[in-house]
Order: sequence, then C-alpha cells, then structure tokens
Amino acid sequence: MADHPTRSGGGSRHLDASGPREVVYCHSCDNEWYQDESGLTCPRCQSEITEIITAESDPRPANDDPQTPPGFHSLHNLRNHNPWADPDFADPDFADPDFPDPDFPDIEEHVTQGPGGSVLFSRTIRTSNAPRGPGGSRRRRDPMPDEDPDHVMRDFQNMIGNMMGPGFRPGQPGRSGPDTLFTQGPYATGFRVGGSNGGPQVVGGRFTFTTTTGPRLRPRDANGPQRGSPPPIDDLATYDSPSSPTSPNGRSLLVISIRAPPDELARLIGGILGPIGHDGQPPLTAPGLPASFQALFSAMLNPANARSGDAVYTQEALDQIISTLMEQHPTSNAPGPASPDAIAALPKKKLDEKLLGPEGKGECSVCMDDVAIGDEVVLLPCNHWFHETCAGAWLSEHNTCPICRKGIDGEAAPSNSRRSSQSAPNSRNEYRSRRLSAARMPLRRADTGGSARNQARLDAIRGLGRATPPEEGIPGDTRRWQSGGEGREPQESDDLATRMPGSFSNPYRRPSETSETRRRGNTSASDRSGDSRRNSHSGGSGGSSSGGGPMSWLRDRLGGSHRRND
Amino acid sequence: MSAQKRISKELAEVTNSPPEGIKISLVDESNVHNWNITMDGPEGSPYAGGKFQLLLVLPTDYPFKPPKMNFKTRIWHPNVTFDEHGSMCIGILKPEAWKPSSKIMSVLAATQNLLVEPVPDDAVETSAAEMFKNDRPKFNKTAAEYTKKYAK
Repeated sequence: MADHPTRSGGGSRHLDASGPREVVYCHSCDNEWYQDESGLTCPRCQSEITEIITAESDPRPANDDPQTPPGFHSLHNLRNHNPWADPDFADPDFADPDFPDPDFPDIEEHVTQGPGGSVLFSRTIRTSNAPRGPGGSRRRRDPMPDEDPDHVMRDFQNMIGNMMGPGFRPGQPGRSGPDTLFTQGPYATGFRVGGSNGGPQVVGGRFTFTTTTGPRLRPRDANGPQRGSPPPIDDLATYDSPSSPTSPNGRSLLVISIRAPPDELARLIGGILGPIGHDGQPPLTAPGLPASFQALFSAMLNPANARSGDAVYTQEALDQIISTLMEQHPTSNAPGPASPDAIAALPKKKLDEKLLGPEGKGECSVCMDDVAIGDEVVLLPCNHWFHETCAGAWLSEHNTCPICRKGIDGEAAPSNSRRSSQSAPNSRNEYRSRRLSAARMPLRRADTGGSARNQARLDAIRGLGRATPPEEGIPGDTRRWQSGGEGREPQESDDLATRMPGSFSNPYRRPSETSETRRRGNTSASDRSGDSRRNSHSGGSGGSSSGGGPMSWLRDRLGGSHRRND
Repeated sequence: MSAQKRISKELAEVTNSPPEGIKISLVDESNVHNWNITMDGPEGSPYAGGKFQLLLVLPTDYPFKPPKMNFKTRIWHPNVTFDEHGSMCIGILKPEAWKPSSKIMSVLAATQNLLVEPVPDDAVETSAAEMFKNDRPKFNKTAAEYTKKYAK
C-alpha cells in the first residue's frame, strides 16, 4: 500500500517536549509554545489553563504523539485497511491507493486513551454526493432506497456518544485530556449527518472500534501485513481475537469492524446492546459478537466508569468520588467542636462526695489524674465532670462528652445512633441522601458556567472536609445543631459552609449570601422557637436517624428548607 | 505534657495487670508513644496458637486523638489489611467514635475481640470478608494456615 499523507507521521505538528526547553500546552485552545518564550499563559487565548508537558504527562492528542513507534502510522490508514479482504465487501474505495486526502468530513476517528489502553473509534460515512468515485457509494446506496439512513446513523451516533461520553476511558482513572475536560467532546457536536438540511444523504458507513491494552499502546499498523490467517466473514461484525493477531510490538489488539448498510447496522446494534441487561450470562443473544465486545460495551455503560480523571459525567460517579473522599478523611465524620461560649458557660463545681459516685474514686478520665474532693471541676449536662482544661481541650474539638459522647447543648445523646449509622455507612438512607444532595449541589451555581461549576464543587468538598456535620435525622424530622448550642433552621440561600458546624469563616461566600445571613440574624428568634418545637416533638426519633455524613447533612439543608417553603 | 503523663499511667496499669494473652513493651524505652504488643491468638479463633506482633502508636495529643494500631504480623482477617502495613479497622479507634475516656486497655480488649469476631461489614480486606461471609470453613482454614505460617 502506498503511504498516505498522515497527520502524525513525522510528529512535526507538536513541539518537542523531550528537549531541554519546556513546552506548555493550552487546554483551552490546544495551542502549544515554549515556556521561555511566552510563559505559562496562553499567548493565543490568554487562558491560564495550561500545562507544562512532560514525558509522563502529555495532554496533547495521543495520536499525534511524536513518539509513535515506527510502523505505527496514521490512524486514518485504518480506513483503507481491510484485514479480511472479503470479496463480497471489497470496496474499490478501500483498496484504492490513490484515495485522496483523508480530511474528508465524512471520516472521523477518535482515540480515547487511558493509562491502561485505548479505544479507537473510527467512522466512515458515505454520502450520496461524496466527492469520490462512484464505486463505493453506488454499492451502498442501491440496496436500501426506502430506508431512512439518517435516522439509523443518528441513533448509532447518539448511542456511541452516550456510551463513550466526552472522553470515555473504561475504568481507567487517569488524567483528563483537552477533549474531555473543557469541551463537550466530539460526539455531541462533531457528527455531521446530512439530509435534513439539504446536505448529502447518508447512505452507508462503517464503524470501527479498536481497543488496545497495555501501557502506551498505539493503533496497529494498518499497512503492515496482518499476522494469522484472516478469518472469513460470517457475520457483518467480525473481530480479531486478542490472541491471534498481535501488533508488531507484541501487544494484543482487539479490532471490531462493522461494515453494513444502515438497516443492518441497526440490527447489529440491537444485537450488541441486547445482552447487556444480563450481566454474567453468556452472550447468547448476539452470536456474531465476541464476549469481549459486549464487555466493552458493558464497561462503557457502567456508571462507575463515567469518570475521566478528575472529571465525572454521571451522578453515580460523583457519588463514588464523594464517598471515597469521605472515607479518606474520616475525621470529617467526627462531631464538630462546641462553641467557646458554650464551653465557658459550663458550670464549675467543687468536687464533692456526690459527684464521686459509687466508686468513690476521683479521677479525671481525660488526663487520668486523681482529683481530690474540693478540687474545682467542670460539670457537663450529662453529669460527667472533668478538669476544666481537660474538658475544654476536648470540647473545643468535639462537642461530645469524653465519656458518654453526649453533646453539651443538652440534646439527645448521639452515641448509639451515631455509631450504628457509621458502622453501616452504605445503608439505603445514607446512599439515598448522598444521591439527593449530590444532585442538588452542582445545580446551585450552574449558571456560572463550567469552570465556576468545578470551583463550586471544589468549594463544597473543601467545606465538607473541614465541616463536621452533627447527628441529624430524616429531613424535616430531627434537627440537631451542636455548634451554637441551639437549634437553628437554615434557609436554602444561607451559605453552606457557614452553616456547617465546625466550619471556619467561609472564604467562598458570595456577597448576596452575606446579606442573607445578616437578614436571618434578625429573624433567628422566631426560627429558634420553631425549631425547639420541632426538636421537642421529634426527640424520640433521634435514634432512628440516618447516617450523619456531610452529604446527608447537605441534603437535609437543601431538601428541608425546600419543603419548608412549600 | 499531660499526654505523657496519662500514657505513663496507662503503661503502668497495663504492665502491672496485663490482659490475658498480651505482652507490652516499649519500642524505645525513652519514648512512651510507641508500644510493642504481642498478642496471643485467642482460643476459639482460627488464630489460636499464633503470636501476633502489633505496633501501637499514641499521638502527641493523646487522648484527644485516638491511637493507631497496626499488625506487624500478617494476619488473614477481614478488618486487617493483608499487607506489610497490617492496618486495622476497629470501631473504637475511628476518629468519629473515639472518646478520651477510652483506654489502651479497652483498645487491646477490643482488638482481641475483633480476632474472635471479625466485622465483615466494616472490612478493609474484602477478599477475606467475602470468604468469611460465604465460606466460613475455608476462611478458618486459610486464617489458621497463615497463622501457622506467619504468627510464630
């Protein structure tokens, strides 16, 4: 086969990042430049979302990597390569060495690459007036004159777009690429289906998936000879099993090629998607398709994989990250501190026989020092006493009695419910609450655009990290606040972080929220009375409260106040 | 420092009346924060007959922060990671459950109890937890084998 013009062959499109000069890459406009020339801000678009390229971390499109090994040429060559050479499907276009420049709008190839492998998705769409020889298009156009190919192709496009999302990486949490983090990805916008607006009709096409495994894989050499005997095409969808043909450097490749007229494509898609609902069962419903292909689709559809490095695309993936964060920072589950005022307001007493209890032993259970009768101790509402300094040191971090874990604001002891809820953090309520709250979180500042949304998410997580939600119940049932020693019903517009017990003054607060908080200050008395009523009538249900994670706390805030406004 | 004072008291208490099957020594005599613990595998558990080394680290702000305890001896247990860290997941030492009145003595007792009764729902070694839940005889056999292999 003749060598075709390639996009990446010489690697000349990219600056050499392996040299002594540092190359900076702009995630916003894909520009790149030497750092010593233009600094870290993109000279083209002034974006500051830039990155110095290193050998380990190269965000530039992988198929343009100048380190492409010899023999691995352009992905575009794949379209010319028919490894099975089936005469029934042999198409003059595909064998034509003089095929023109690959920058046809009807050819698309996308490579999604993760640390553990990559997925190549290539698509060839034939249109009725495609500027090429009549051989290819005639063949595809004739059999199906009455079908609506647009519809089928669009469906397939949507399916692929949905499954792969912008920047799908199957189960590979890695870095985000420029196509995945800052754009919608090519699938949502890039596909051009003619016909509806007077453009060319889609009359046929070909989709190819190539998945590779192993580190730093490249698409196979499309021009090189295929090892192993080519299997005959029994079905419209065939694949090379990972074991038979291997790429020149010994890594296994899985190539799935679907070539079909539109209506048969639709049938194939049905066959592909059919078995997904039955996890673990052999792929009986799609005999022509290998199990690994179905596993690939399953992996695509798995919500756990809907994440790409530091970005997520589904609620489930966000939940998962939040859960992981919570597990990694268990201190955030601990009760928050008592307010200095509440600590200072604790009664101090001279130790007497009555306080010593039946054991008659005087010992501060924090420092384990003996305490003699007549020494001054501080008495908690639960009747446990300590050295003032010992109790203060603990209470300023956690509003619980060092012995019985009861809060000093006189409300129900959280001890039992708290522990039980934490031993089963994945209880249904907890999960549900995380889902609900997480669903609302990004909406709060959705109007501020993409990067601001990220910031909001970060803010929320930062807030969660230092905030420590108190024991709390089902929204609207039990409210328990440990920060100020008083029940307090927040409004939705209140700033999240300032309302979290244990939070510091919030640097992310917006001005409007500040005024909102101030306004609330004037009405807090009435709020409080409402809360105390609420607390008193629901005090008995405290034990049944769901888990006290930050997310359920958030859910409580947002969900509860929402209902209140009803 | 109040921490050292309390730790010294607890050390004296545990040394004078050690819980059954537990021996205590300091890693470094001049530092009361790091304890070597030798724990016998409790009778009635698949760990019986084994001697398990643990390291107890008491933070400088003890008892306001919980101590950390790790198995130095490999142990096949749902709540202990089966690696060189031997990180143990036990309720009493979790930050959200810790209270200053908890003593090292009770931590040791809880650890012994954990060997007798694993908590698979709170597992850190999920493969062990699965085996514990689904195939108890196999779990006991595996745990006993590893005890024989490592915990001498």
